[in-house]
Amino acid sequence: MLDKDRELVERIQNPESRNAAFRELMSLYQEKLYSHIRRMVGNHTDADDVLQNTFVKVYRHINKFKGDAKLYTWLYKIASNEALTYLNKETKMRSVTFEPQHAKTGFRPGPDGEEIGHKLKQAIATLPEKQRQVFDLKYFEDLKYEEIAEITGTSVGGLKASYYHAVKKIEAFLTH
Amino acid sequence: MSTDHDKEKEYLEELAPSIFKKKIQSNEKPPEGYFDTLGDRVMNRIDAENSHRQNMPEKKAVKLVNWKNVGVAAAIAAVIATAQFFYMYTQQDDPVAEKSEISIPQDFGSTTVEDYLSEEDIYEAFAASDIRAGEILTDEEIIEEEIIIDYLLQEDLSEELIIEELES
Repeated sequence: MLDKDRELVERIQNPESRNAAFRELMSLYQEKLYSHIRRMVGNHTDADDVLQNTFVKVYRHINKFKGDAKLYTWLYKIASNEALTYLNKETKMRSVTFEPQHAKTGFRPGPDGEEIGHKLKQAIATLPEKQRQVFDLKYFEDLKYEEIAEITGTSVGGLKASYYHAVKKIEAFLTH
Repeated sequence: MSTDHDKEKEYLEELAPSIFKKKIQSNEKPPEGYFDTLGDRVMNRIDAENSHRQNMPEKKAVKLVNWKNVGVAAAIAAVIATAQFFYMYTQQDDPVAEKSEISIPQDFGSTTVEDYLSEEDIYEAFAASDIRAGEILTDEEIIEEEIIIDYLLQEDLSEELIIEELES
């Protein structure tokens, strides 16, 4: 764990500085966690719910955080679990609502304009939840396999297989 | 010399050129000002949950086994068992009980029953039962019947006729 993260966690674990330090943690990680959750759940309203739940959980369990793992992998783990729990609940009730095609894609326009970004979003939405999680953490967040293994609790070999499967499916979606 | 990372990059570019030749950047933006208020909203939720927890009545620890009640139940059971034991013990030794009307002598047999019951009672008992007349035969009657059957057989009468005759 980085020194600044350790110091931040210690301040959160101290009742006197808890709230101020926790606000600091939120402002440090909110954008990254939001992007990850948003890509997982597909729309802003649900991403907001899941992100709030994530931070409430972090606040409740920060005393159990011993610093064996990196702070951001621990945060991603909670965020990922919250997103997956939400997706499981949602799929039981109805299919996940990804924002409509005409909505802003959220992907930066490449040489082919927004088209490829929009198609990629659609392709990601077709992936099973676990593959979506792995693809997101690797492709967009650019985490190492070892870090993703820590977050997902899966072996590195299993993760690579899952990632390649996801990539293959996305390519097939984009080229057909 | 190419590293594992480079090899994987090459492999992925071959596997999915659409997304690996040029990496697509994601930039999922929330509505304007969203992050400015997020911290406050999360802290408000935490405070609300904390005060809700504090207002909740303290849960009483429920003992699975109340040893006081178990002791009382055991004492009552012991008293009942002791009373029953003494009752049975006194019944066995009671000379009055041996002579009572319901005491049954060990050499109780059919003659004893006949001594106790009048002839009229026996007839009434048979009448009330399902025993049909003719099913209870005296030894003499059984012998008589055998003689009749032998006689009929000697007369070369068919078996069916004899059965018919006996049943009529």
